[in-house]
Order: sequence, then structure tokens, then C-alpha cells
Amino acid sequence: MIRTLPFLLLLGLLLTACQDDDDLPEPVLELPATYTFERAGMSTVSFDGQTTRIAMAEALVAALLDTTRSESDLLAMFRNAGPNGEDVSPFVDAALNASDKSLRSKVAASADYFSANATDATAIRTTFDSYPRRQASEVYPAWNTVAQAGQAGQVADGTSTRYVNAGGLEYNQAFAKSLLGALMLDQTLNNYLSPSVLDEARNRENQSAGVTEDGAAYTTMEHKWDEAYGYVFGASPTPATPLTSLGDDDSFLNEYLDRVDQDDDFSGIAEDVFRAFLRGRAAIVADDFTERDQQANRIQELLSRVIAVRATFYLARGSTALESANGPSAGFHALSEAYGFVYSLQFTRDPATGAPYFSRAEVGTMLDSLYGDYPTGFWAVEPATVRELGQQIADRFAFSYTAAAN
Amino acid sequence: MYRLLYLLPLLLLACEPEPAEVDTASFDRGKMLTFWADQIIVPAYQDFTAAARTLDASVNAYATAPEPTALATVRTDFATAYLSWQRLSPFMVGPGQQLRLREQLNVYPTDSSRLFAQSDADLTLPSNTDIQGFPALDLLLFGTGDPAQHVEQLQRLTDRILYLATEAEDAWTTTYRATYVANSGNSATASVDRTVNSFVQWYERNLRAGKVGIPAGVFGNGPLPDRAEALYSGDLSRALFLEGLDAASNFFDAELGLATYLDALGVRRDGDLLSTRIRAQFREARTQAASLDRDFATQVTTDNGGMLQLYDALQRNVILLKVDMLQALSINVDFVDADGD
Repeated sequence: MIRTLPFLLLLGLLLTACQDDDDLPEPVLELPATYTFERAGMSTVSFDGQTTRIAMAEALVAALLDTTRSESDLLAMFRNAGPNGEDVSPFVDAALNASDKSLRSKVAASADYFSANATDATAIRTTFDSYPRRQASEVYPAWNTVAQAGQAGQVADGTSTRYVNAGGLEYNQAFAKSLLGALMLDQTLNNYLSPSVLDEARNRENQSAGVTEDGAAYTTMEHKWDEAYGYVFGASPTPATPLTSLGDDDSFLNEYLDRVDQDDDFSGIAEDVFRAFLRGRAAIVADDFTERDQQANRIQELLSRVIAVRATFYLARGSTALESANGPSAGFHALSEAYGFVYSLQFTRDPATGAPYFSRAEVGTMLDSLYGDYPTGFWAVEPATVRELGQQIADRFAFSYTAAAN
Repeated sequence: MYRLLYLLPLLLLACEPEPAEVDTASFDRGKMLTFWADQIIVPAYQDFTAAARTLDASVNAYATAPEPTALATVRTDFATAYLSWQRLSPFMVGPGQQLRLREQLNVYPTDSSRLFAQSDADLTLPSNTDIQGFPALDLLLFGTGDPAQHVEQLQRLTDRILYLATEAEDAWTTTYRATYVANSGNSATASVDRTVNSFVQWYERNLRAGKVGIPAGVFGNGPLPDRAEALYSGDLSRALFLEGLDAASNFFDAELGLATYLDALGVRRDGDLLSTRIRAQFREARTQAASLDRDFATQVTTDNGGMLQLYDALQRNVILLKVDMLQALSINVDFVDADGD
């Protein structure tokens, strides 16, 4: 028997080698099959504000490639207000113009990371302001010229055309992929899923007593949780069963959760995120706040991983393309996406520490090695440097570079 | 305890696909590269440049005297050059890739409104790849009431084709051939890896998807006749496809080709030589294509089923070439699907 024990242990290892390590028995909780929750026959699920902001973000990202737009147009879309807060109508969609929501006010605006950090929040918003500004002033005038090192213009990306600044960076990609972190991810992980928001004021008592918000069927805590859900699944045509159209619904968290899920090395992550949202929401209804927080932690971990995998993926792809026969510019599109995803790492959240996996300072250093350290940006960065950055991210998150790269 | 060690490899393999274990070093790749360069790729460039020069000359003659006979000559020379391009397109390594010949010579459908509105467009801009090359000529020569109204633009477009062809051929013959043949290792940047990647990518995207799958609506919600190649000349699309398919099977089956390489390594699938299976699949696609209309736009409109069968036949070889062959030859795929954003 003693002699067979190691054999049995090894066999056990063998059998579990490919399984997820999170299949622990879960306490009994009444789970609906879909993200559907009701009180007295009325749906308690609501996230209009998130759906609206995702739509605004889509419109702005599209407008960044429309040279008929002026700088003030683009900035008005970002603020949904004029420079002095006056009402504006920059969107084609009248519903967006009529909305009192704005993208800019929710950038770097989470309770946990930024409520007492106006310095960083202001710096981050200034960075965001600079992209539409510089797109209009640097890239639009160079729209019909071929870009060169130190000169904005077009570069070829297969049969696509990309529009870059003098350092090879696509401002529209930097903007979109940074917004995915600074707005969608930050609001989800560090605001709506945070106990400081979920448990604010009398939320727990009201939840237990079933006290709903004025004129609504939902309690404040339920609504906060759903607002987090809305930043991931709020653009789905069937938000109660969002996995059916995952990836087609927006160009932000929804799309990239799907992209990572499509990679065999990470498949199942979308289902895990959805299940955690579902369980956490059911736990709120059941007054089980410990379970709620466990699921919030799970979502924080998984969505942070999405950012990290995509950052590594684009760094890997960009470093390979830098070396192609087409010259370095073939890699600029991937590197521009990578730039935004790396930037977004500062909004991730390690549930073990409550802090980002990469600090804002670390992110700044990485972006310097990727782009900022060179007078001609991506035209000058070495492929090996790009790969090292990808490896650094993969190591921190404990996945393999190759798994993310393919 | 030691006898348990035999379990360790099992443990490591548990999550990995079965690796290919063939000794690719035993095959003389340098000799194969010399053959590819001197017997296949450079001759394809020479043919194509000659055809582009003839086309350019006949367009100039047509510009001087826009007579029906001169137009007929232009149209014939257009078809000859377009067919010749099909035999070169699979081999975009080195100068051909650098000059982006595939993108600048044959992106279709051409953007007709911009083609007419911007007849003096800067053809070196990446954003203008869809208003030049053969698809743009196809529209001007066959899709307008009177091509004579567009002679200057025809001249600009054929000049551009001739310029790109000459540049690429010159680079190949003067400097790149030596580099290409000498780079006979098997790393991601070695010539065999790059050539085979170019070939497989072309087979998958340009031959299978571009010429057949997209017009047949495989990636959308139904047939898209206006996505067929050579839409305006009408009776050329099947011929262009067959020329490409022949280029593929000739390259595969050349005296020192991929079939030779695979057979030398003894690569088999389900009892057969892999090369035999790939060859049979090329044959099946050719037989299927022979039964189709000369105009693929007509074919997808009248009987898309035949077109879908051709697509399926081509797709079976994507798997054999891209998965089985590349794995056997230890070549990594270096192209990826476009990101779509």
C-alpha cells in the first residue's frame, strides 16, 4: 500500500491536470437560468445608463476616423457638453444628445481608486482629452499622405489602412482601448462591485427589508450590481442571455471578453464571468453578502485577466509584425491596441490586495519602453523590448506568453 | 519509486496536442529553394512583367488611336496579364511582400464611385488599393460605355502595374534571389517557412475565400455576385480561379516541391501519404470547378450549390495544408485573421 501511494498521488495529479481549480462545491443558492430578477412581477434589472455610455463611446470612436469632425465636435461627444458645460448635440442619435450622461465624467471616477485621488483622475482625463484633440490637429491634416518616422499619415495593415501620428500610434485605438479600462473596467470593478459602493449608507438594511428606490422595483444594492453587469453586457440585444451574442455587442469589454474566450487556452472565461454575475446577484436577493463579495472578487480577477491577455496578445502580434518584410509599420495597429490595453492595466484589480495588478507608475514605465522613450515612437522600438513587456504581463498574471500570443 | 518516472511524460503531455516528430534536417532545403527561385518564382515574375509590359503598350496604342481593334487587343492583353498574375500571387515573399503586390494589384471589388471621382488619386496611398490594379482596369474596360473616355486613367493604372512588376522582378533577380536561397534554415524567418506561409495564406484567403467563398456567401447571409473576381468582364472569373488552382497544384507537385519534401519525411495520414491526399483534393476541386459557369457571378445567382461544393473541396485542402502539412514540416503559421477593428 505504501508503495502504491505515490502512484495514486501522481494519478490524481494526472486526472486534475486539465481541470479548472475552481470547481469547489458551492452552497445552495437559488439561481435563475438567465439574468432575470423580479419583485412582485416587475423586473428589477436596470442598466440604461451603461447602455447609453457604451453607445456614446461607439459613436465617438467612429467619429475619430471621420475627418469632417472638428476638434470641438469630438470633445463635445466626449463630454456631452460644451467647453463651459453648455448643452450640445454632437451625436447623430438624438437619444444620446438628450441624455444627461457623459463619458468624461466617468473616466477614472471609481469610488475605490479615485474618490480621494483627484490628482491622478485629472491627469488621466487630460490624457483622454488629448487624443481627440491631437487626432484632429495632427492626423486629420495628414490623412492623405503616407506616414514616415516622425510624420503622421497612413500606414498599410494588410488590405486595411490605418491612420497614425508621427510616432506610429493610432490615437483612435489608444483612446478606445484606454477607455475600456478607465471607464468600463474601472466603473465595474472598482466602483459598482466594491463593498464601499454596494454597502453605502443603509443599503444592507434596505436590501434585507426589501426597500426599493423611489419609483423603481429595485433596491439600491441590486441596481449597483446591475450597473456593473451593464458595462459588460449592457449592449446585448438579449441582456438576460448575453453569451449568445457575445463579442458582437460592443467594441469594449464585451468584445474582448469574447476574444479571450475564443482562445482555446482561456475558453470558458465568458461563462465564468456571466455565472459570477448571476450568482452574486442571486446572493444579494438572498441577503448573502459574503457570497456576493466572493463573486465580485471572481469577476475582478477574471476581467482583469481579460485586459492582461489582450495586452500580451497585441504585444506579441505587434513584435512579430515589426519584423515582417513590410517594414515596422505593419505592426503599428497591433501596437496601438496594445498601448491602450497596457494603459488599462492600471484599472485592473487584484482581489487579494484590492489594488491594480500593475500600478499607474508601472504602467507609465511600460508605455515609455513601448513608445514614449523614442522620438519616433513605434518606428524605433525594438521587437525584443515589446516581447519583454508581454512577458512581464504574462508573468504577473501567471499565464504563459505563448498561450496569450496565439 | 523510480519505476513511476515513466508516468512523468504522460503528465506533461496531458494538456498538449500530439507534437510532430519528424527530422526536417535530413532534407536538402537549400536545393529546394534554388529550384523554387529559379524554376518557379523568378519565371513567374518574368512572365508577369512581360505580360504587364504588353498590356501597357497596347493601352498606349489605344490612347493614340482609340479604335475597336485596339480596344480588343487591350482586353485580350488584360486577360493575359490577369491570368499571369494568378501564377505569381501565391509567392509573395521578399520584394513582392514589401511592395504589397497582392494589395495593390488585385483588391476587389473596386470602389467604383471613388475610381471615377478620383481619377488622379495618389496610387501609392494604402487607402487607394481598391481603386487600382486589375479590378479597376476590369471596370474601366468592361463596365463603362466607352473606355476611350478613360484612356488617361487606363494609362496611369497600367503604368503602375508595370512599375510594381518591374521593381519586384528587379529586386528578385539582382539581390534577393541569393538571400532567399541562402536562408535555408527552418526558423520563422527562413525562406521555406516564409514561402510556405505565403502560399498557404494565399490558398486560404485569396483562392478559397476571395474567389469562391465570399461570392458564394459562405461568410455572410447568401450569395454576393458583385464580389466575384473580374466582375465586369464576366467570363473570366472561373479561368482566373483555375489558373490559381493550377499554380497551387503545380507548386505542390513540382520536381522539388512540397510533395517531395513530405514524401522524403515519410508523412502519412490514415494510411496514405499526405501528399497523395492533398493531390487528390486539388483534383477534386478542379473537377468541381469545371462544371461551373465561366462567370462565377452568374454561377452563384443561378446555382450556388455548385459553388458551395467547390468551396467545400477547397476547404478540405486548407486543413490538410495548413494543419497537417505545416505541422509535419514544423512550420508555424505566421499570418492571422484580420482583427476586424
